[in-house]
Amino acid sequence: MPKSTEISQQRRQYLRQQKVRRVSIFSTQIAVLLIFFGLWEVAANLDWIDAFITSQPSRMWKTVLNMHSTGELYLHVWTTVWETIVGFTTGTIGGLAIAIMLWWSPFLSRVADPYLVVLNALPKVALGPILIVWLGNGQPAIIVMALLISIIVTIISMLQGFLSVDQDKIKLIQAFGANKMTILTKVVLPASLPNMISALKVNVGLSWVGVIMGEFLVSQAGLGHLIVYGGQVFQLDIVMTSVIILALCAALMYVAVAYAESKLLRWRL
Amino acid sequence: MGKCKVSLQDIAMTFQTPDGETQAIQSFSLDVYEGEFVSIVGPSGCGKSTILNILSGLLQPTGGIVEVQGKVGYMFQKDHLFEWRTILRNCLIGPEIQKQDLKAARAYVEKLLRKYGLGDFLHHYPHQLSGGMRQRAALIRTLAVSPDVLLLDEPFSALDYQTRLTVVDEVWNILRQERMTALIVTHDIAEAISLSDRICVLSRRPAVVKNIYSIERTIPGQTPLQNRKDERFRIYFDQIWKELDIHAEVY
Repeated sequence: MPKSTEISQQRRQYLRQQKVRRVSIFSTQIAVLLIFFGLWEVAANLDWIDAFITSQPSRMWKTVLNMHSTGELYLHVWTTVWETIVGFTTGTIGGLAIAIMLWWSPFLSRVADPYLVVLNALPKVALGPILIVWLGNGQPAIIVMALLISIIVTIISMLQGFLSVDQDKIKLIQAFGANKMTILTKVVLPASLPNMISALKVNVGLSWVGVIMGEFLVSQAGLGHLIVYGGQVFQLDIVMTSVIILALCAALMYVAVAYAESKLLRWRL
Repeated sequence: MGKCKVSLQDIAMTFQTPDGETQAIQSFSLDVYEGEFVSIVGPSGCGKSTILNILSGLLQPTGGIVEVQGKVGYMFQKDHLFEWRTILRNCLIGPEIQKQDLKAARAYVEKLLRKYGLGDFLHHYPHQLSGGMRQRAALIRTLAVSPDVLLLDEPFSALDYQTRLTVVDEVWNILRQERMTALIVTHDIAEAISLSDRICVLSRRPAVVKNIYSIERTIPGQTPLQNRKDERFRIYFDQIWKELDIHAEVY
Protein backbone atom coordinates (compact mmCIF):
# COMPACT_ATOMS: atom_id res chain seq x y z
CA MET A 1 0.00 0.00 0.00
CA PRO A 2 1.33 3.46 -0.83
CA LYS A 3 2.34 5.69 2.06
CA SER A 4 0.50 8.95 2.63
CA THR A 5 3.37 10.91 1.11
CA GLU A 6 3.26 9.22 -2.28
CA ILE A 7 -0.27 9.20 -3.67
CA SER A 8 -1.08 6.77 -6.45
CA GLN A 9 -2.24 7.96 -9.85
CA GLN A 10 -5.76 6.59 -9.33
CA ARG A 11 -6.02 8.18 -5.90
CA ARG A 12 -5.03 11.56 -7.30
CA GLN A 13 -7.60 11.22 -10.06
CA TYR A 14 -10.28 10.21 -7.55
CA LEU A 15 -9.50 13.18 -5.30
CA ARG A 16 -9.60 15.54 -8.27
CA GLN A 17 -12.99 14.19 -9.32
CA GLN A 18 -14.31 14.66 -5.79
CA LYS A 19 -13.06 18.24 -5.73
CA VAL A 20 -14.54 19.06 -9.11
CA ARG A 21 -17.86 17.68 -7.91
CA ARG A 22 -17.80 19.73 -4.71
CA VAL A 23 -16.93 22.92 -6.54
CA SER A 24 -19.57 22.40 -9.21
CA ILE A 25 -22.30 21.75 -6.63
CA PHE A 26 -21.39 24.89 -4.70
CA SER A 27 -21.12 27.11 -7.76
CA THR A 28 -24.48 25.85 -9.05
CA GLN A 29 -26.04 26.69 -5.70
CA ILE A 30 -24.67 30.23 -5.91
CA ALA A 31 -25.77 30.50 -9.54
CA VAL A 32 -29.36 29.48 -8.67
CA LEU A 33 -29.46 32.24 -6.04
CA LEU A 34 -28.02 34.89 -8.38
CA ILE A 35 -30.30 33.92 -11.28
CA PHE A 36 -33.34 33.97 -9.02
CA PHE A 37 -32.67 37.48 -7.70
CA GLY A 38 -31.40 38.68 -11.09
CA LEU A 39 -34.54 37.51 -12.90
CA TRP A 40 -36.69 39.04 -10.19
CA GLU A 41 -34.93 42.40 -10.59
CA VAL A 42 -35.06 42.34 -14.40
CA ALA A 43 -38.68 41.18 -14.52
CA ALA A 44 -39.69 44.03 -12.25
CA ASN A 45 -37.74 46.59 -14.24
CA LEU A 46 -39.25 45.42 -17.54
CA ASP A 47 -42.74 45.39 -16.00
CA TRP A 48 -43.21 41.65 -16.54
CA ILE A 49 -44.34 41.60 -12.95
CA ASP A 50 -45.82 44.33 -10.79
CA ALA A 51 -43.10 45.45 -8.36
CA PHE A 52 -45.81 46.99 -6.17
CA ILE A 53 -47.03 43.55 -5.13
CA THR A 54 -43.87 41.48 -5.66
CA SER A 55 -41.26 44.05 -4.60
CA GLN A 56 -37.80 43.66 -6.16
CA PRO A 57 -34.24 43.11 -4.90
CA SER A 58 -33.06 46.70 -5.42
CA ARG A 59 -36.05 48.07 -3.50
CA MET A 60 -35.46 45.52 -0.76
CA TRP A 61 -31.85 46.63 -0.53
CA LYS A 62 -32.98 50.24 -0.22
CA THR A 63 -35.38 49.18 2.53
CA VAL A 64 -32.53 47.52 4.40
CA LEU A 65 -30.34 50.62 4.11
CA ASN A 66 -33.23 52.78 5.22
CA MET A 67 -33.96 50.66 8.26
CA HIS A 68 -30.24 50.51 9.02
CA SER A 69 -29.95 54.29 9.10
CA THR A 70 -32.92 54.68 11.44
CA GLY A 71 -31.70 51.77 13.56
CA GLU A 72 -35.09 50.09 13.14
CA LEU A 73 -33.50 47.04 11.51
CA TYR A 74 -31.59 46.11 14.65
CA LEU A 75 -34.53 46.70 16.95
CA HIS A 76 -36.75 44.32 14.99
CA VAL A 77 -34.14 41.67 14.35
CA TRP A 78 -32.98 41.71 17.95
CA THR A 79 -36.54 41.57 19.32
CA THR A 80 -37.36 38.47 17.30
CA VAL A 81 -34.00 36.76 17.86
CA TRP A 82 -34.20 37.42 21.60
CA GLU A 83 -37.73 36.03 21.85
CA THR A 84 -36.66 32.96 19.89
CA ILE A 85 -33.59 32.33 22.01
CA VAL A 86 -35.56 32.66 25.25
CA GLY A 87 -38.41 30.47 23.96
CA PHE A 88 -35.97 27.90 22.59
CA THR A 89 -33.88 27.75 25.77
CA THR A 90 -36.77 27.55 28.20
CA GLY A 91 -38.61 25.06 26.00
CA THR A 92 -35.55 22.84 25.76
CA ILE A 93 -34.53 23.05 29.42
CA GLY A 94 -38.12 22.71 30.65
CA GLY A 95 -38.76 19.79 28.30
CA LEU A 96 -35.56 18.10 29.40
CA ALA A 97 -36.41 18.55 33.09
CA ILE A 98 -39.91 17.13 32.64
CA ALA A 99 -38.58 14.24 30.55
CA ILE A 100 -36.11 13.40 33.34
CA MET A 101 -38.94 13.48 35.88
CA LEU A 102 -41.05 11.14 33.77
CA TRP A 103 -38.09 8.79 33.26
CA TRP A 104 -37.48 8.78 37.00
CA SER A 105 -41.04 7.80 37.82
CA PRO A 106 -42.61 5.25 35.45
CA PHE A 107 -45.87 5.77 37.34
CA LEU A 108 -45.89 9.48 36.54
CA SER A 109 -44.96 8.68 32.95
CA ARG A 110 -47.93 6.32 32.56
CA VAL A 111 -50.23 8.92 34.09
CA ALA A 112 -48.93 11.67 31.82
CA ASP A 113 -49.04 9.61 28.64
CA PRO A 114 -52.59 10.42 27.36
CA TYR A 115 -52.19 14.10 28.26
CA LEU A 116 -48.96 14.35 26.31
CA VAL A 117 -50.59 12.73 23.29
CA VAL A 118 -53.49 15.22 23.34
CA LEU A 119 -51.26 18.24 24.00
CA ASN A 120 -48.96 17.17 21.19
CA ALA A 121 -51.86 16.88 18.74
CA LEU A 122 -53.35 20.25 19.75
CA PRO A 123 -52.29 23.14 17.48
CA LYS A 124 -50.67 25.44 20.01
CA VAL A 125 -51.59 28.55 18.00
CA ALA A 126 -55.16 27.98 19.17
CA LEU A 127 -53.98 28.98 22.64
CA GLY A 128 -52.87 32.41 21.36
CA PRO A 129 -55.94 34.41 22.45
CA ILE A 130 -55.83 32.76 25.89
CA LEU A 131 -52.18 33.70 26.31
CA ILE A 132 -52.89 37.30 25.33
CA VAL A 133 -55.69 37.55 27.87
CA TRP A 134 -53.57 35.99 30.58
CA LEU A 135 -50.16 37.48 29.87
CA GLY A 136 -51.04 40.73 28.20
CA ASN A 137 -50.26 42.31 24.90
CA GLY A 138 -46.52 41.88 24.91
CA GLN A 139 -43.38 39.81 24.77
CA PRO A 140 -44.30 37.32 27.54
CA ALA A 141 -47.22 36.02 25.45
CA ILE A 142 -44.94 35.59 22.41
CA ILE A 143 -42.24 33.79 24.38
CA VAL A 144 -44.75 31.46 26.02
CA MET A 145 -46.16 30.68 22.59
CA ALA A 146 -42.68 29.68 21.36
CA LEU A 147 -42.14 27.66 24.52
CA LEU A 148 -45.44 25.80 24.24
CA ILE A 149 -44.78 24.86 20.65
CA SER A 150 -41.41 23.28 21.42
CA ILE A 151 -41.81 21.87 24.93
CA ILE A 152 -44.22 18.99 24.27
CA VAL A 153 -42.21 17.65 21.36
CA THR A 154 -39.08 17.94 23.49
CA ILE A 155 -40.62 15.95 26.34
CA ILE A 156 -41.86 13.19 24.05
CA SER A 157 -38.70 12.78 21.99
CA MET A 158 -36.32 13.01 24.96
CA LEU A 159 -38.30 10.53 27.04
CA GLN A 160 -38.34 8.14 24.12
CA GLY A 161 -34.56 8.52 23.89
CA PHE A 162 -34.10 7.89 27.61
CA LEU A 163 -36.23 4.76 27.46
CA SER A 164 -34.44 3.35 24.43
CA VAL A 165 -31.05 3.32 26.19
CA ASP A 166 -29.71 -0.24 26.14
CA GLN A 167 -31.00 -1.96 29.30
CA ASP A 168 -27.81 -4.02 29.52
CA LYS A 169 -25.73 -0.85 29.86
CA ILE A 170 -27.89 0.06 32.84
CA LYS A 171 -27.55 -3.45 34.22
CA LEU A 172 -23.81 -3.19 33.80
CA ILE A 173 -23.44 -0.18 36.05
CA GLN A 174 -26.04 -1.51 38.47
CA ALA A 175 -23.72 -4.48 38.88
CA PHE A 176 -21.10 -1.93 39.96
CA GLY A 177 -23.59 -0.69 42.55
CA ALA A 178 -24.97 2.37 40.76
CA ASN A 179 -28.10 4.07 42.11
CA LYS A 180 -30.76 5.78 40.00
CA MET A 181 -29.00 9.16 40.01
CA THR A 182 -25.76 7.56 38.82
CA ILE A 183 -27.63 5.67 36.10
CA LEU A 184 -29.10 8.98 34.94
CA THR A 185 -25.87 10.95 34.88
CA LYS A 186 -23.43 8.26 33.75
CA VAL A 187 -25.50 6.34 31.21
CA VAL A 188 -28.92 7.71 30.32
CA LEU A 189 -27.97 11.33 29.70
CA PRO A 190 -24.71 10.77 27.80
CA ALA A 191 -26.25 7.94 25.76
CA SER A 192 -29.15 10.23 24.81
CA LEU A 193 -26.91 13.10 23.74
CA PRO A 194 -27.34 12.46 19.98
CA ASN A 195 -31.07 12.28 20.57
CA MET A 196 -31.03 15.55 22.54
CA ILE A 197 -29.19 17.33 19.79
CA SER A 198 -31.63 16.24 17.13
CA ALA A 199 -34.38 17.51 19.46
CA LEU A 200 -32.53 20.84 19.64
CA LYS A 201 -32.44 21.06 15.86
CA VAL A 202 -36.18 20.50 15.66
CA ASN A 203 -36.72 22.99 18.49
CA VAL A 204 -34.86 25.79 16.75
CA GLY A 205 -37.31 25.58 13.87
CA LEU A 206 -40.35 25.26 16.13
CA SER A 207 -39.32 28.24 18.26
CA TRP A 208 -39.18 30.44 15.16
CA VAL A 209 -42.67 29.25 14.25
CA GLY A 210 -43.90 30.07 17.75
CA VAL A 211 -42.32 33.52 17.84
CA ILE A 212 -43.56 34.56 14.42
CA MET A 213 -47.07 33.26 15.20
CA GLY A 214 -46.96 35.17 18.47
CA GLU A 215 -45.80 38.33 16.75
CA PHE A 216 -48.57 38.00 14.17
CA LEU A 217 -51.08 38.01 17.03
CA VAL A 218 -49.61 40.68 19.30
CA SER A 219 -46.48 42.77 19.01
CA GLN A 220 -45.01 46.22 18.85
CA ALA A 221 -41.75 45.11 17.27
CA GLY A 222 -40.04 42.17 15.63
CA LEU A 223 -39.80 40.64 12.18
CA GLY A 224 -43.24 39.02 12.50
CA HIS A 225 -44.65 42.43 13.38
CA LEU A 226 -42.94 43.97 10.34
CA ILE A 227 -44.36 41.29 8.06
CA VAL A 228 -47.91 41.77 9.29
CA TYR A 229 -47.58 45.56 9.31
CA GLY A 230 -46.09 45.62 5.81
CA GLY A 231 -48.93 43.43 4.56
CA GLN A 232 -51.56 45.65 6.11
CA VAL A 233 -50.20 48.87 4.57
CA PHE A 234 -49.37 47.15 1.26
CA GLN A 235 -45.65 47.79 1.64
CA LEU A 236 -44.43 44.55 0.07
CA ASP A 237 -40.84 45.85 0.22
CA ILE A 238 -40.98 45.58 4.01
CA VAL A 239 -42.65 42.16 3.91
CA MET A 240 -40.16 40.61 1.48
CA THR A 241 -37.15 42.16 3.22
CA SER A 242 -38.32 40.85 6.59
CA VAL A 243 -38.93 37.37 5.24
CA ILE A 244 -35.42 37.22 3.82
CA ILE A 245 -33.81 38.53 7.01
CA LEU A 246 -35.86 35.98 8.94
CA ALA A 247 -34.61 33.17 6.69
CA LEU A 248 -31.02 34.30 7.27
CA CYS A 249 -31.45 34.44 11.06
CA ALA A 250 -33.10 31.01 11.20
CA ALA A 251 -30.35 29.51 9.05
CA LEU A 252 -27.64 31.05 11.26
CA MET A 253 -29.20 29.65 14.41
CA TYR A 254 -29.46 26.21 12.82
CA VAL A 255 -25.80 26.35 11.82
CA ALA A 256 -24.89 27.25 15.41
CA VAL A 257 -26.69 24.16 16.73
CA ALA A 258 -25.10 21.96 14.07
CA TYR A 259 -21.69 23.33 15.09
CA ALA A 260 -22.42 22.51 18.73
CA GLU A 261 -23.37 19.01 17.61
CA SER A 262 -20.07 18.41 15.85
CA LYS A 263 -18.21 19.61 18.97
CA LEU A 264 -20.25 17.54 21.43
CA LEU A 265 -20.42 14.31 19.46
CA ARG A 266 -16.78 13.92 18.55
CA TRP A 267 -16.78 10.38 19.96
CA ARG A 268 -19.12 9.23 17.23
CA LEU A 269 -16.66 9.41 14.36
CA MET B 1 -8.93 -27.03 47.02
CA GLY B 2 -9.11 -23.55 48.52
CA LYS B 3 -11.87 -22.02 50.57
CA CYS B 4 -15.41 -21.68 49.35
CA LYS B 5 -15.99 -18.34 47.56
CA VAL B 6 -19.54 -18.78 46.36
CA SER B 7 -22.20 -20.90 47.93
CA LEU B 8 -25.68 -21.27 46.49
CA GLN B 9 -28.14 -23.47 48.31
CA ASP B 10 -31.53 -24.50 47.03
CA ILE B 11 -31.98 -21.35 44.98
CA ALA B 12 -35.46 -20.99 43.51
CA MET B 13 -36.70 -18.24 41.23
CA THR B 14 -40.18 -17.51 39.99
CA PHE B 15 -40.97 -14.52 37.76
CA GLN B 16 -44.31 -12.75 37.93
CA THR B 17 -45.75 -11.12 34.82
CA PRO B 18 -49.29 -9.99 33.93
CA ASP B 19 -49.65 -13.16 31.83
CA GLY B 20 -48.85 -15.49 34.69
CA GLU B 21 -45.90 -16.81 36.60
CA THR B 22 -42.87 -18.60 35.26
CA GLN B 23 -40.76 -20.86 37.38
CA ALA B 24 -37.27 -20.31 36.00
CA ILE B 25 -35.26 -22.20 38.59
CA GLN B 26 -36.68 -24.97 40.68
CA SER B 27 -33.71 -25.79 42.82
CA PHE B 28 -30.07 -24.92 42.27
CA SER B 29 -27.13 -25.60 44.55
CA LEU B 30 -23.48 -25.01 43.74
CA ASP B 31 -20.26 -24.22 45.60
CA VAL B 32 -17.37 -22.52 43.84
CA TYR B 33 -13.92 -22.62 45.42
CA GLU B 34 -11.11 -20.11 45.26
CA GLY B 35 -9.26 -20.05 41.95
CA GLU B 36 -11.75 -22.35 40.30
CA PHE B 37 -13.35 -21.90 36.85
CA VAL B 38 -16.84 -23.32 36.86
CA SER B 39 -19.14 -23.32 33.82
CA ILE B 40 -22.88 -23.58 33.81
CA VAL B 41 -24.26 -25.08 30.61
CA GLY B 42 -27.87 -25.77 29.75
CA PRO B 43 -30.44 -25.46 27.00
CA SER B 44 -31.26 -21.90 25.97
CA GLY B 45 -33.77 -20.14 28.16
CA CYS B 46 -33.17 -22.43 31.12
CA GLY B 47 -32.34 -19.66 33.55
CA LYS B 48 -28.53 -19.72 33.38
CA SER B 49 -28.25 -15.94 33.29
CA THR B 50 -30.80 -15.66 36.08
CA ILE B 51 -28.34 -17.44 38.35
CA LEU B 52 -25.67 -14.82 37.62
CA ASN B 53 -28.16 -12.00 38.13
CA ILE B 54 -29.01 -13.45 41.52
CA LEU B 55 -25.34 -13.80 42.43
CA SER B 56 -24.56 -10.22 41.49
CA GLY B 57 -27.47 -8.93 43.54
CA LEU B 58 -29.44 -7.64 40.55
CA LEU B 59 -32.23 -10.09 41.38
CA GLN B 60 -33.56 -11.39 44.67
CA PRO B 61 -34.21 -15.15 44.55
CA THR B 62 -37.65 -16.29 45.68
CA GLY B 63 -36.03 -19.00 47.76
CA GLY B 64 -32.70 -20.36 48.98
CA ILE B 65 -29.48 -18.95 50.42
CA VAL B 66 -26.78 -17.02 48.54
CA GLU B 67 -23.37 -16.55 50.09
CA VAL B 68 -20.54 -14.76 48.33
CA GLN B 69 -17.14 -14.09 49.92
CA GLY B 70 -15.93 -10.73 48.69
CA LYS B 71 -16.81 -8.58 45.72
CA VAL B 72 -18.44 -9.77 42.51
CA GLY B 73 -17.54 -8.59 39.01
CA TYR B 74 -19.94 -9.10 36.11
CA MET B 75 -19.01 -9.44 32.45
CA PHE B 76 -21.67 -9.52 29.77
CA GLN B 77 -22.15 -11.07 26.37
CA LYS B 78 -21.56 -7.78 24.62
CA ASP B 79 -18.78 -5.50 25.78
CA HIS B 80 -21.16 -2.57 26.40
CA LEU B 81 -18.29 -0.12 26.36
CA PHE B 82 -19.69 3.41 26.48
CA GLU B 83 -19.14 4.98 23.07
CA TRP B 84 -18.76 8.45 24.60
CA ARG B 85 -15.89 7.47 26.89
CA THR B 86 -12.32 6.62 25.99
CA ILE B 87 -11.06 3.13 26.78
CA LEU B 88 -9.32 4.37 29.93
CA ARG B 89 -12.39 6.22 31.19
CA ASN B 90 -14.57 3.22 30.33
CA CYS B 91 -12.39 1.06 32.52
CA LEU B 92 -12.65 3.59 35.35
CA ILE B 93 -16.45 3.57 35.47
CA GLY B 94 -16.52 0.98 38.28
CA PRO B 95 -14.15 2.82 40.64
CA GLU B 96 -15.98 6.05 39.78
CA ILE B 97 -19.36 4.64 40.81
CA GLN B 98 -17.94 3.04 43.93
CA LYS B 99 -16.25 6.34 44.82
CA GLN B 100 -12.82 4.76 45.11
CA ASP B 101 -9.57 6.68 45.05
CA LEU B 102 -9.48 7.50 41.33
CA LYS B 103 -5.77 8.17 41.20
CA ALA B 104 -4.89 4.73 42.53
CA ALA B 105 -7.59 3.15 40.35
CA ARG B 106 -6.22 4.91 37.30
CA ALA B 107 -2.71 3.69 37.96
CA TYR B 108 -4.00 0.14 38.40
CA VAL B 109 -6.18 0.23 35.27
CA GLU B 110 -3.40 1.73 33.18
CA LYS B 111 -1.10 -1.04 34.36
CA LEU B 112 -3.64 -3.70 33.39
CA LEU B 113 -4.31 -2.10 29.99
CA ARG B 114 -0.60 -1.95 29.22
CA LYS B 115 0.00 -5.47 30.47
CA TYR B 116 -2.71 -6.88 28.24
CA GLY B 117 -1.80 -5.05 25.06
CA LEU B 118 -4.08 -2.03 25.14
CA GLY B 119 -1.40 0.45 26.20
CA ASP B 120 -1.56 2.31 22.89
CA PHE B 121 -5.33 2.67 23.03
CA LEU B 122 -5.90 4.36 26.41
CA HIS B 123 -7.34 7.48 24.80
CA HIS B 124 -9.08 5.83 21.86
CA TYR B 125 -12.82 5.53 21.62
CA PRO B 126 -14.40 2.04 21.57
CA HIS B 127 -15.37 2.16 17.89
CA GLN B 128 -11.68 2.40 17.00
CA LEU B 129 -10.95 -1.05 18.51
CA SER B 130 -11.49 -4.56 17.16
CA GLY B 131 -14.03 -6.91 18.72
CA GLY B 132 -11.38 -8.89 20.57
CA MET B 133 -9.71 -5.77 21.96
CA ARG B 134 -13.06 -4.39 23.07
CA GLN B 135 -13.81 -7.60 24.95
CA ARG B 136 -10.40 -7.38 26.64
CA ALA B 137 -11.13 -3.77 27.60
CA ALA B 138 -14.49 -4.87 29.00
CA LEU B 139 -12.73 -7.50 31.09
CA ILE B 140 -10.28 -4.93 32.44
CA ARG B 141 -13.21 -2.64 33.27
CA THR B 142 -14.63 -5.50 35.35
CA LEU B 143 -11.26 -6.18 36.99
CA ALA B 144 -10.78 -2.49 37.83
CA VAL B 145 -12.84 -2.80 41.00
CA SER B 146 -10.70 -5.78 42.11
CA PRO B 147 -13.50 -8.33 42.32
CA ASP B 148 -12.94 -11.61 44.15
CA VAL B 149 -15.35 -13.57 41.98
CA LEU B 150 -16.01 -12.97 38.30
CA LEU B 151 -19.33 -13.78 36.67
CA LEU B 152 -19.21 -14.16 32.90
CA ASP B 153 -22.45 -14.34 30.95
CA GLU B 154 -21.78 -15.84 27.50
CA PRO B 155 -18.76 -13.55 27.29
CA PHE B 156 -17.60 -14.78 23.89
CA SER B 157 -20.78 -15.47 21.96
CA ALA B 158 -20.90 -12.05 20.29
CA LEU B 159 -17.51 -12.65 18.66
CA ASP B 160 -16.87 -14.43 15.37
CA TYR B 161 -15.49 -17.95 15.66
CA GLN B 162 -11.79 -17.26 15.04
CA THR B 163 -11.64 -14.20 17.24
CA ARG B 164 -13.45 -16.19 19.83
CA LEU B 165 -10.84 -18.93 20.09
CA THR B 166 -8.09 -16.38 20.67
CA VAL B 167 -10.14 -14.24 23.04
CA VAL B 168 -11.01 -17.28 25.16
CA ASP B 169 -7.29 -17.92 25.54
CA GLU B 170 -6.58 -14.28 26.31
CA VAL B 171 -9.32 -14.00 28.90
CA TRP B 172 -8.38 -17.33 30.46
CA ASN B 173 -4.79 -16.15 30.64
CA ILE B 174 -5.73 -12.83 32.27
CA LEU B 175 -8.01 -14.54 34.79
CA ARG B 176 -5.29 -17.05 35.72
CA GLN B 177 -2.67 -14.33 36.12
CA GLU B 178 -4.96 -12.22 38.28
CA ARG B 179 -5.87 -15.37 40.28
CA MET B 180 -9.58 -14.98 39.73
CA THR B 181 -12.39 -17.29 40.66
CA ALA B 182 -14.84 -17.44 37.77
CA LEU B 183 -18.35 -18.62 37.12
CA ILE B 184 -19.11 -18.76 33.40
CA VAL B 185 -22.48 -19.21 31.76
CA THR B 186 -22.38 -20.57 28.22
CA HIS B 187 -24.35 -22.66 25.78
CA ASP B 188 -21.18 -23.73 23.98
CA ILE B 189 -20.23 -27.16 25.34
CA ALA B 190 -16.80 -27.20 23.69
CA GLU B 191 -15.93 -23.81 25.15
CA ALA B 192 -17.05 -24.92 28.61
CA ILE B 193 -14.91 -28.07 28.47
CA SER B 194 -11.88 -26.22 27.14
CA LEU B 195 -11.70 -23.64 29.93
CA SER B 196 -13.41 -24.98 33.04
CA ASP B 197 -12.36 -27.03 36.03
CA ARG B 198 -15.93 -28.10 36.60
CA ILE B 199 -19.09 -28.01 34.50
CA CYS B 200 -22.56 -27.81 35.93
CA VAL B 201 -25.27 -29.09 33.57
CA LEU B 202 -28.75 -27.68 33.97
CA SER B 203 -32.05 -29.15 32.85
CA ARG B 204 -34.69 -27.31 30.87
CA ARG B 205 -36.92 -24.86 32.73
CA PRO B 206 -37.68 -25.01 35.60
CA ALA B 207 -33.97 -25.61 36.01
CA VAL B 208 -32.45 -28.20 38.31
CA VAL B 209 -28.84 -29.38 38.37
CA LYS B 210 -28.61 -32.51 36.23
CA ASN B 211 -24.98 -33.27 36.84
CA ILE B 212 -21.66 -31.70 37.76
CA TYR B 213 -18.53 -32.85 35.89
CA SER B 214 -14.99 -32.43 37.14
CA ILE B 215 -12.81 -32.00 34.08
CA GLU B 216 -9.51 -33.90 34.22
CA ARG B 217 -6.72 -32.96 31.82
CA THR B 218 -4.10 -35.30 30.43
CA ILE B 219 -1.63 -32.41 30.58
CA PRO B 220 -2.67 -29.91 33.26
CA GLY B 221 -2.08 -26.15 32.94
CA GLN B 222 -2.64 -25.86 29.19
CA THR B 223 -4.58 -23.06 27.53
CA PRO B 224 -8.19 -23.64 26.44
CA LEU B 225 -7.13 -23.88 22.79
CA GLN B 226 -4.60 -26.59 23.62
CA ASN B 227 -7.15 -28.34 25.82
CA ARG B 228 -9.35 -28.79 22.78
CA LYS B 229 -6.78 -31.29 21.47
CA ASP B 230 -6.92 -33.32 24.70
CA GLU B 231 -7.97 -36.94 24.02
CA ARG B 232 -10.65 -36.76 26.74
CA PHE B 233 -12.21 -33.66 25.20
CA ARG B 234 -14.41 -35.72 22.87
CA ILE B 235 -15.53 -38.04 25.67
CA TYR B 236 -16.66 -35.15 27.87
CA PHE B 237 -18.32 -33.52 24.89
CA ASP B 238 -20.37 -36.64 24.11
CA GLN B 239 -21.36 -37.12 27.74
CA ILE B 240 -22.54 -33.55 28.18
CA TRP B 241 -24.21 -33.49 24.79
CA LYS B 242 -26.23 -36.58 25.75
CA GLU B 243 -27.03 -35.07 29.11
CA LEU B 244 -28.37 -31.89 27.52
CA ASP B 245 -30.55 -34.02 25.29
CA ILE B 246 -30.85 -31.19 22.79
CA HIS B 247 -31.34 -33.32 19.69
CA ALA B 248 -34.29 -35.22 21.17
CA GLU B 249 -36.22 -32.13 22.18
CA VAL B 250 -39.63 -31.71 20.60
CA TYR B 251 -41.05 -28.23 20.71
